[in-house]
Amino acid sequence: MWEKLQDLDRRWIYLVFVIALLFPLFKPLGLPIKVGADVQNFYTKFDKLPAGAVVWLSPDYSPGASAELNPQFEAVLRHCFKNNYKLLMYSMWEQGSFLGRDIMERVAKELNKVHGVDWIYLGWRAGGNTVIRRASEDLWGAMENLDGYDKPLADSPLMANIRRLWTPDVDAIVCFSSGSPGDGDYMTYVTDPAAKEAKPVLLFTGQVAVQAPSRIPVIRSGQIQGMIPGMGGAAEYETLNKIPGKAAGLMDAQSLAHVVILAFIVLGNIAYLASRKK
Amino acid sequence: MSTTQIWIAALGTLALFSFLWKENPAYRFVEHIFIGLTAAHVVVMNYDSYIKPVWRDSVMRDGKYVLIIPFLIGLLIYTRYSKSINWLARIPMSLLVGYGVGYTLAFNPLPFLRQVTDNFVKFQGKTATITANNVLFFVMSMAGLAYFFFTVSREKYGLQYISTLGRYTIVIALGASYGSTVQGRISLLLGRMQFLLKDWLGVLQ
Repeated sequence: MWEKLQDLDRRWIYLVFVIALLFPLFKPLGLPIKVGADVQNFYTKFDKLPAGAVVWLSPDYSPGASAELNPQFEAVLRHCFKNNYKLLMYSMWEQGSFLGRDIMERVAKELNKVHGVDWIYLGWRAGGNTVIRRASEDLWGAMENLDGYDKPLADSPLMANIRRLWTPDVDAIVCFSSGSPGDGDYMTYVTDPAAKEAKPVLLFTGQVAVQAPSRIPVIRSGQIQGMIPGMGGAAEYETLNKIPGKAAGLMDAQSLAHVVILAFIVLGNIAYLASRKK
Repeated sequence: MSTTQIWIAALGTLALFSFLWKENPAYRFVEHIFIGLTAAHVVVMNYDSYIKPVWRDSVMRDGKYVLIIPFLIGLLIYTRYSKSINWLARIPMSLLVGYGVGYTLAFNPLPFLRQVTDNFVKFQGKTATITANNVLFFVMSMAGLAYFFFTVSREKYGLQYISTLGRYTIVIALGASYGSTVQGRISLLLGRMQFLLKDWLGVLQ
């Protein structure tokens, strides 16, 4: 029997896995979502920013990571608009600028937030981290005096007092990262050098689950204020925000899939050990 | 997305998933389309993001002719195809390396050193759990470093025990990464399933 299990056609495993994923999508189990320390820290510190605080949102990812990072981006965006923060959206990833812009436009329209007054889309510029480095000294120059729609920055009332990606013009940066360039670049070129200023620029991050463990040391050292890890983190943030979103609805499927994987790992190991004894 | 776009995306997704059953022409067709699309996308985006704003707008329209100098230096990279003048290709490479190293060394030590100083922790915490956590953090950090200590033999001076602990520390960290990777991959699959069931078939609320 154990040998048979070891030779099991992998497609049976796929089938069981798909059923485990589909079942909760049609029939939600209503499993509780427990908020972790990282997300709680993020939410608490981010929520403390005063109304009118300037937040730089940076969706630095491509479509491959959008299933995880789009829900995070939308949850944080809704939190920002709820607290009346002023938003600048710029991406170091070309495709990330489009992904972020689509969500931004949709949510802003829904909440009657005006481009150029409540938020501004700065698009993407060639140069990776050298652009944010230059923006830390001269934001307008780094953006060639244009926003992401090629309209003059001078036409936006929001930009009147924002000249640099630096304190006190910008209060916080939220980087949604699936690789490089990403939060490490903001830390290296903006937030860590600005840490010695009277009022630091706070760095928050949303991470794809794969990268999340590698960020623990920089959270511990205080270089990053808080982290939203993967889709699970997005669901936790939606729970804290009290605005149900895409991620929370998928967590039952996520949890059940994990149970199935664990069961298969345990079964596989038992089968391996049993067949070795023979 | 329009209805046509949704149908193309859905059929493409199904064709890719068909690989789970076995290799087949539908999968290969979509795979080749993806590679072609990516190549075309890179060409268009490079034109739109580099050539158009720099060459057409800055040089030709705004008269910033000084930008022609780095452009000409950059072109030297193609001299590597000629045996007699291929040494010229080293000029743009040396400029790139020099700039890259200088730029990196100017900024990178600061965040790195903040993480190093963070390793100097006080064992005594507010609670017993925090104290235990601090001790574990210190011991496991040292053990992890000892595992990569190659100056003396790891079989002597008791290093074999601490480097073994270091190996277990690294394995635990890799386990955490693996767990997160599984979670991430399931999220991607769920994203596709939601697209198929909700956006395409409309059977999911």
